Formats: sequence, C-alpha cells, structure tokens
Amino acid sequence: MASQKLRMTPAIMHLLLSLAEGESHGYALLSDMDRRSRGAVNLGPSSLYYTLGRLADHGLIEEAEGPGASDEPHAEQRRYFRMTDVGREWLESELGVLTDIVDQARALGLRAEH
Amino acid sequence: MGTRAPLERLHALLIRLHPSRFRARFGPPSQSLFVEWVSGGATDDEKRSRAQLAVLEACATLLSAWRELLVAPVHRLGRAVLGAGEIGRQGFVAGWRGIRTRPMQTVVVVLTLAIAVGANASLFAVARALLIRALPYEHADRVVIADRGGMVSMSGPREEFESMPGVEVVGQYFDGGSASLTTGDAAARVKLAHVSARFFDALGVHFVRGRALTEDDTGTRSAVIGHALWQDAFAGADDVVGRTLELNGLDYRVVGVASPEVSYPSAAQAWLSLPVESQFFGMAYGAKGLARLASIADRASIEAKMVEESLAESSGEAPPGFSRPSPRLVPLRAHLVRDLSGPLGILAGAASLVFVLGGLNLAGVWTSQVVGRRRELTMRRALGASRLRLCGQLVAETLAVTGLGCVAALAVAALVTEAARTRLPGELPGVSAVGVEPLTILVGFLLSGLMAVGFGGLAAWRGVRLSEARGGRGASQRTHRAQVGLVIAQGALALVLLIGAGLMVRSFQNLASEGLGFEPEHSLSLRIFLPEAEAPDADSRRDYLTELEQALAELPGVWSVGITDLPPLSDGMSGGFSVRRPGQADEREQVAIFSRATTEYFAAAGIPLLAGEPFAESGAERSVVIDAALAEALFGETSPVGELIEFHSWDGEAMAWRPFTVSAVVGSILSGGPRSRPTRRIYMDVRSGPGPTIGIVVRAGGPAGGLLDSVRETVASVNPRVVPFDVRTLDAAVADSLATDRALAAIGSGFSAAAALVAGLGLYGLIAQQVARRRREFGVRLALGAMPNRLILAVVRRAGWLGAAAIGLGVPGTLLGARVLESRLFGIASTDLATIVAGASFVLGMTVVASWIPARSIAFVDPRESLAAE
Repeated sequence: MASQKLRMTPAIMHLLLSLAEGESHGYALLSDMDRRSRGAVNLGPSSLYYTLGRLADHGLIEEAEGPGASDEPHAEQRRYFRMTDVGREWLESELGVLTDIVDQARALGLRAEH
Repeated sequence: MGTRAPLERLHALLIRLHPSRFRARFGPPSQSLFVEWVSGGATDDEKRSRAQLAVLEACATLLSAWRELLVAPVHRLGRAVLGAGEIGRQGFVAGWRGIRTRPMQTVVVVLTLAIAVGANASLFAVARALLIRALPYEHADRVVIADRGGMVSMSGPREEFESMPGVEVVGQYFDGGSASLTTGDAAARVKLAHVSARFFDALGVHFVRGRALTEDDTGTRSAVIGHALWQDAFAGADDVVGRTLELNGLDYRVVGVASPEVSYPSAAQAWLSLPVESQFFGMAYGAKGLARLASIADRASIEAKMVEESLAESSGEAPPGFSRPSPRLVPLRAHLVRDLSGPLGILAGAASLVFVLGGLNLAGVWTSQVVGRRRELTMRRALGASRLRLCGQLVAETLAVTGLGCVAALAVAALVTEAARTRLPGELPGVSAVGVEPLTILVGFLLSGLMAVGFGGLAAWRGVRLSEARGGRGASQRTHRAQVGLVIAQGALALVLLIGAGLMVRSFQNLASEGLGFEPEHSLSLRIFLPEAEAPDADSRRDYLTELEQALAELPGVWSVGITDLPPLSDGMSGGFSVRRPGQADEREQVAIFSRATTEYFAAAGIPLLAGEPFAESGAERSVVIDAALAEALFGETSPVGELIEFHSWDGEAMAWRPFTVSAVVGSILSGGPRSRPTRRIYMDVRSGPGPTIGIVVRAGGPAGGLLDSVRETVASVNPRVVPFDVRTLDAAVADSLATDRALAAIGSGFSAAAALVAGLGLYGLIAQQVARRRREFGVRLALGAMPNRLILAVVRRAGWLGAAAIGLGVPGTLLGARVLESRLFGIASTDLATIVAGASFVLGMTVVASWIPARSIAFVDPRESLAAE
C-alpha cells in the first residue's frame, strides 16, 4: 500500500538493483550506482540516506547488521541495508512495466541510445 | 584540498539542520559517508566536485525533509476534512429525506427546538440588552451610586467623599421631579432632575450640542436637555443652545443637549442647575450621589472607608425599631437593574430546565430512530463503515432537521423579544435595544448545534453500539432502559416547572385578591402640579381646587371626587411624624404617615369610614382623621372619636407637640400595593393648606376607563396651563404594581406548558414506538381472545408507572428548587401541598393521555394482518 506513494526514479531503480545483489552499505551503494549508471545518476551522502530512509519507510528495504567488526576506515559508521520481499516484488513489477514499454518501443522500430 | 574542510563543515551544519528524525537515523552515517566518498575521489578536482555535489544535495534533502514534515500533516488534515465533508453531505441529504418520510418525528423535533432554543435565545437577547450591553456613558463600569441602606443617598458632605483616594469626581442629583413644559399653546409633562455641576463628568455623558452644566450655571436656571426632548420640543434645531425652556412658567436657558439614550436618573428628560426648584418635586429629600472611581477595583476599599467614617460619625444607638444603615457603593449597572436580576434569574433557571428537557426529548426521538434502523446500521458496519463514519453520518442526519428547528426557534425568539420589549418598563437602560440581533442568531445556532451534536451524538453512539451488538437482545434492552430513563427525567423536569409555575400563579392570585383597604374598581386617579405662576398661595390653590372639584363632579357618570396629596399606588413620599396621646409616655409614641384629604376622598377611593365624621369641627383644635391601625395602637379598644392626639411637628419656630382632635376613623390601606408594608396614617383636611402637588380620585358609577379623556379635558378647561399626569384607573394602577408578578406567572406558565408539551411528546413517541414494535404480539394475543381494552389498559398502566417514577423523582427536586422562588412568593409556601399534588396529578394525567392515544391503535390491529405481515 505504501509503495503506491513512492515514484520509481532512476536513482531508486539503481539502488534497488544494487541491493538485489545482496546487502550493502552507503559507500558501496554510491560507488555501485556510479558504475551502473556510468556517472549519469549522482547522489550525495545525504540524498542517499534520505532515499534509503524513504525506501525503508515503505518496507522495500530494511537495515541489516552487516559483516561485523572491520579494520577499514569509516567501517563503524557504515549502515547496511538489504532488500525485502516486498521490495523485490515491487522492483520486479516496475521492471515488468519498463520491459513492456521497451518491447513496444522496439516493435515501433525505436532503439535506445546509450 | 584547501576547500574540503570548509565544505565538510558546511555539510555537517546542513545535516544538523535536518529534522531530528533524519538526524537521529542518518546524521552521523551521512557525515561519515561524506568524508569517505570525497576521499574516494581519484583526483583533487574529483574530490572537490564530489564535496560540492554532496553539499548541494544536502541542501536539497534539507528542504525535502522539512517539506515532508510540515506539509504532509496539512495534506492529511485536508483529506480528513474532505472525508468529513463527504460524510456530512451524505448525512445531511439522508436527514433531509427523513424530514419528508418521518413527518411526525420532524414536527416533534422542530417544536422541541423552537421551544427550548427559542426560550433561551430570547432570554439571552433580553439579558444581553439589559445586563451586558454597554451603557451610554463613558467608562460606565467605573461609575458607582452611593447607596445608604436601600435609599440612595450621599454619604456625608461631597468634599469629604471626593477627597478619598481613588475617587475621581463626585456628582449630586435630586431625581423624581417633573414639570409642565409649555411650547406655544401646548403643554406636556417632562421628567426632571436637578444636578450638580460635576454630575455629567461623574456620569461620563457626551454632548451632541453645547456643554455640561458648570459651577457658573448654579443659580442661573440653566438646563441640559435630553436628545428626545431636543427633537420633540425644538425639532432638532441646531441653534438650540441659548434658547429657552419654559417649565411651570419658569424660563430655563438650554446650555447643552445630551447624547441619545442618556436618561439617568429616573428616565430624566432634562437636567436643571441647582438650587432645587421645590415646586418641581413636591417633597424632595436630600441629594443623592454618584461618583466616578479611578478603578472599579477600588470600590470595596473606598466603601469600607466610608463605613468606617460613618460609624465614627454616628454616636449612640439607633432608635428602637430602626437599624443604622451602612453606606454602600453600588455599580451603576447593578443599581439600574436591581429590580430585574431576581426575576431574570428565575427565568434563566426555568429556561435552562426547558433546554435540558428539550435535549432529553430529542435524545429520545433520535434514539428511537436509530433503533428502528438497527438492521441497516449493522449491515453498514459489516461492510466496513467505521464507527466514526457511522456516528458522524447519524449526527449529520440530525443537522437537517435541527436547521429547520433553529429557524423556528429564531422566529419564536423574535416574537418573544418583541413582546418583552413592549412590556418592559421603558426607563430600564437598554430596553429599546431588546431584539434579535446577529449575536442572538449566533446563540440560536450554537444552542441548536449543541443539541444536535450533544443529544444527536448520544443517540448516534447508541446506534453504533446497537449495530455491533452480538445477539442483540441485551443491547436492545439497554437502549429501551435508556429511553425509559429519558422519559422519566423529562416528566420529572416538567413537574418541577409545573409546580414552580403553579406557585407563581397562586402567588399572583393571592396578590391580586389581597385587600388593599380601598376599592380600586370604578375609580380613577390623576395628579396635577399647580405652578406658582398659576396659583401662588394657599388661597388661590384652594379656589382652583374647588373649581376643579365642581367641574369634575358635574361630569356624567361621576359619583364622587376626592382630593388628596398622593393617591394610592403613586410614586412619591409622604412625611412620617411621631404621634402620641397627650400625657402618654414616650415609649407609647407611634410613627404615622401624614396625608391630606377631603371628606369626599374616602368615599371616592372606597376607604371605609369606621367611626365619626371626617374633619368635623370640634372646639378650638383642628380635627384629623386617623386610620384603624393607628387608632388601635393609640387607643386600643376605646373609641378615639373626639379624643385629642398630639404630633410632633414644626410650628414655625421649633419642633413641638401640637394637639389635634380625632374626628373620624377610617380603614387602613396598603398604599404601595399588596406587597407594601402597612403603615399607620393621619389625614388632615387638604383645604387647610393645599400644596402645589395634588392628587385627585374620581369614583364613577361604572368602569372608570371611559372617563379618562373627559377628566383630562376638564382639567384643561379649568386651566390649560395645568397638565394632569399619572391619569389612570386605580384598577390599572393595581395591575401596574403587579406587573412583574403577572409577567413571571405568565412566562412561568408558558415555560411549564411548553415543558409539559415536550414531555408529553416524548412519552407519546416512546409508547407509539413500543406499540408499533409489539404489533405482532398484540395480534397474537387478540387472536387468542384477549380483549383490546385490556391490552390498552396494560399499556396505559405501564406508562402510569413511568409517570409515578417521574413524580417520585420530580417532587424532591421541586422541594429543593422551589426555595429560589421563596422571596417572590406571596401568601403561599414553596412547599404548598395542594400545588404539588396538582402538579403531580397533571403529570400523571398527561402520562395517561400521552400513552392512551398511541395505545388506542391496538384496538384496530387485525390479528390475521399482523401475523401475515411478519
């Protein structure tokens, strides 16, 4: 019910795709999103956490405990997240819509540019 | 690297500015991620670029987070309001449909609201105009009247009072005067006051023309006139200041015109400069005082100081039978409405009871409606309608019919306030403003809304509970018990009002039938004032009176004409004197009121002559007439006729005991009306020294009302410059003296009739509903051979028990509540058994009738039809 009020944006799509691979933390998510979008989607630290907070409020992701103690710098402040079943279901349904749109575009002979 | 540190601090600051919810969850991780993310940049440029982007993004999230926090609740509220509006709209439409489909219930609800809200709204309108509305004086809340034990009077010399801390200005006045105003050939009676120079400052009067009286006006015959007199006598002329006002043949120079509505004291139309012109007042006693205080909060302390000084000044004990009154400072408004607050309090109590009773009735009607819709409500609950939604819609349904009732109530309020405005004494401040104003309409709406939301809400909640009840029977019984309780409470309240009204009516009857010692039937009275210019001495006044007496006696239908100084039931003062038998000890002295009369006066006023012949000359002493009460006090059982009495009076040089012969004894009278205290009285022959103020009583062979005009014309024909005033039949004078009691009895009866009607409607509704619900049962019982009359009797008997319960509850309530009436009752106790029994019988009778009407339908139940219907 809550997910109806959340609009799917490229940033959310990339975040969910990253989390679909498994639980992750802020820095890894920013790096992964940068890589996936080839620099097209940029989020800063506060925007990332703001978006993650909204996804968590809608039950699409949840906080995870993480791997435990680590020697890496900033490891103590890292927050880990993982996708919930609801989140996976919502992502798949949104991807279905996108796939349908892409199929229809292809049927019209249109090609996506990268 | 040089710009990273400031951007990091800026980012940290922006994170701190986020709402606490975000800060608590993601504040430290965000800042930590900032550092980690910026450090991860490959080059310095990339690091700087990342830092700048992070700061910009922090700004964006800052705005988003706060917007979400602040705007989202507004959105939610808006949605809730829209939802409530929709519920209300649906309910209102359903309620409007119900008005047409349930006409009987609609009539009951509208009538109930019209009575309950109408009574309270009109009482509010009257109370607001009289008690709450601003007085036409500047900062009137700081004006106080110096009151000395019931008689308004200055306490001590003005200078001493004025020098007290907290007292700003002190004014003095003599009120109750009147004079004939001559304009061209016409003459009219004008009410007057003599006032000191600072009177207007103390009262806070504004002037539309000219100025207030000043010290320089003292002794110059100057006058301030009222706004109405300016319009009537000078046609609102702009050049009124400096013109002349002719009062009793004396010229007064107009110095100012007071603003509209200024009429203090005693509905004065003109205020004259000092010294007092005694001919305007007859017997004017000392000056009265009013003061403007710096703050009304100082009133108590100033009053306490006055009491202290008064005690210090008074030496010795008060004479036996007299108490030494303490000075009091009474706020102006309290002084003006002193006679009204008691009756208004009683009416407010009655109106509150009617309001509660009306509310109980509405709760009963609306409860019976929701009981009838139990299936529908249960189904809607089962389909997911929330309690709040159902309750809201049921309340909204009551709003449509409440709106109709509110309109009816405002119409009732308009009628009642108009009736009140025309019947209240015109000199009360604010009487002209009594009416349905926007605020009264608002009060009507609020009271109606209160009824709908309060009592409609009770019924709606009952309906919601019913819709959720499993098994149903217990809930139905609880609802039925609640309805029965409502009907009993209504009956009890109606009984309280009925008994209260009964007591007021009986009290009024006692007052009306109380013997006054004179016979008002077929008599009329009038007063005249003989201006000095018309009759300067006692001889000319005597001649005038003889001529007038003869002219009046020649009128067709006139039996006798009597002359006195103050006719019965007239406002004015008569002097009191000490009276004794010669040689009697001081303690046997009596205080008697001194009056003047002609021999014919006693016959004209219907005062019985008990012994002797009035004013028959006997020897050298002048003769007097005494009344029976004084005769008994001085002479006991022996006849006083021919005996000497002495009274203590001024003989021109000093106070001395002067002897008089008692020529006759007449009956005692209650000259102030049935509530007045009996006074002992001495009459002297009016011809021995008539004063300028004269009262005339005329007895006719039949109703005296038809003679009023011809009496006025006769007075005018004898001397056109003498204007009669207070011309009225004595019957009308008696009725005037009982006006408040009559109004209370009438309004109380109206309230109690309304209460009985409302309670009866409530009982009718309950029994009708029960009979309708038990129709099948009655059908079966009739099919089995039950007699219809026995079934009807059973229903009526059951209702009778409700009536008995109402009486059981109402009688103790009445015994407690009727005490507030005690001070207004005359010749009847608040616990009068006959009235209580009559009230209880009425409630019982009403119960029987209200249940018998719907129960009658049992006789028309067709057993086959009622069985088939189920």
